[in-house]
Amino acid sequence: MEYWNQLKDDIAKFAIKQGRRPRVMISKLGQDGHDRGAKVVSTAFADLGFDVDIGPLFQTPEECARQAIENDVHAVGVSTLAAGHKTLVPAIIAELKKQGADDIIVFVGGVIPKQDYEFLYASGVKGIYGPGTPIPVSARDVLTHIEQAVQAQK
Amino acid sequence: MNDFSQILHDLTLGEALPKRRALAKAITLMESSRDDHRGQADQLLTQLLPYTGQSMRIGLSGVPGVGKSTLIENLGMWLINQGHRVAVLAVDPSSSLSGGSILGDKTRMELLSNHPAAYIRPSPSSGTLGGVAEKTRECILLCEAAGYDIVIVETMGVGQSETTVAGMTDMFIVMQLPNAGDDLQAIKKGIMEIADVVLINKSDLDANAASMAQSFIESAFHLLGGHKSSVTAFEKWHPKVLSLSALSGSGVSEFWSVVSDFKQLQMNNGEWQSRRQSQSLKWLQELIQTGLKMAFIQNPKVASHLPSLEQDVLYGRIAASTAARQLLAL
Repeated sequence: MEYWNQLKDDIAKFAIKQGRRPRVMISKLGQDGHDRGAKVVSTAFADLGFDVDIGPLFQTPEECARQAIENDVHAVGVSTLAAGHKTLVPAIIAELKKQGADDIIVFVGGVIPKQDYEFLYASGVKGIYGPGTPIPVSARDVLTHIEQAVQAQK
Repeated sequence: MNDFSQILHDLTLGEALPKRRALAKAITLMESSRDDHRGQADQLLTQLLPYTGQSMRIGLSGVPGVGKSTLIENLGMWLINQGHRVAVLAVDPSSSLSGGSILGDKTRMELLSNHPAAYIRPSPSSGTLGGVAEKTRECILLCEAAGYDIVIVETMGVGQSETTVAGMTDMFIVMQLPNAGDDLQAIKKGIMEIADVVLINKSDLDANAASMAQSFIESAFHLLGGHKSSVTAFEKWHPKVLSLSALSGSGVSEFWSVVSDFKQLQMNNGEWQSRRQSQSLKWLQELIQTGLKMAFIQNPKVASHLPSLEQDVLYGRIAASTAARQLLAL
């Protein structure tokens, strides 16, 4: 509980310092309709004080990047439970770059075999949160990466 | 890309991709609560003002789940097929507990949100009451500067009295469900009396209930003195009631022909212009009020006296009215 409240405080401080709350878009890409996890994470992040965009199901990386840019989010969180991550996650990173938004960071949650972690980090993913990750721990990590990305833009 | 001149350039002259991103960044800048951002936002708005004003601004309101986003999906695609460029500003509620929000309007706008001629921006209400966000009005102008000729403001799901959006749009549309009360509900004051059009949605689920609701509201408008079935060219607009299905799209083109009639009439009788003028004046007054409030709270004398006076009020040592007067006199 203390961890949770501390995180909430830090998010509130971020909002004052940056003029807005940290904003993330939780997306489901490709043929993967398992959206319960995405909803659990979305509501928990909102409870912590994030502004959370939820995209439609079955998005292409191109559509996802466009909406992340249009909503001007700090980060895109891809929820993946159908083993498309090695194709779709590098594709969303490439699309963001192509559409002129490489300042938007990408993190991944869901079922991802350990042996794929290195591959994903190498393609530019900032955080990977597998089954069993406590949500506040992932949220803290996302916040830290967003802070770093905002800092780097200056 | 927080660079001010870059945003200004891309927003007005940029290619499609940089323009979209510039509009997104400009809205973020406009919504920012930081002082330096607010200064920049003002400057941006001043520079963009010559590019604004040419769109049709539509306010869309109704209870949660009535089908506002679904209607926009269908109507927006229909408008784009007619050659329009459509911007949507959708407001969702912020949590009063955590300040966070869930912004999910695009999940109901799958086609529109991917169309090159559309821009959809969900915004958190951040504690602003009335169904819109604090900077929605400014964001309308930004969308106009980016070349959108129809701007739809979708309020968060609201009830009976949230009418703020009517004060920033050319046309105010209220959506209603069938089976949502009789004509007594419709003669209650508030949202209904300022609607230009009332839409009964979900006629595909229960056509009888929809037409019953339509006649309830029509008869209520007769009591209010507003409704007439036909109008002549220079008369005042009388609110219309229509039923449609946002999901199937049946009734959408009929609805738009009513919107076009409305625009024509308002242009002819001068209401279009005078509504915008009185909205601008009201906007000015609101900004003055907000500014006064901020100036008061940020006043160092007030800041130093406020805590002790609050304690005095808390323990009954001084009346709240006296404390307020003392603070205001500082």
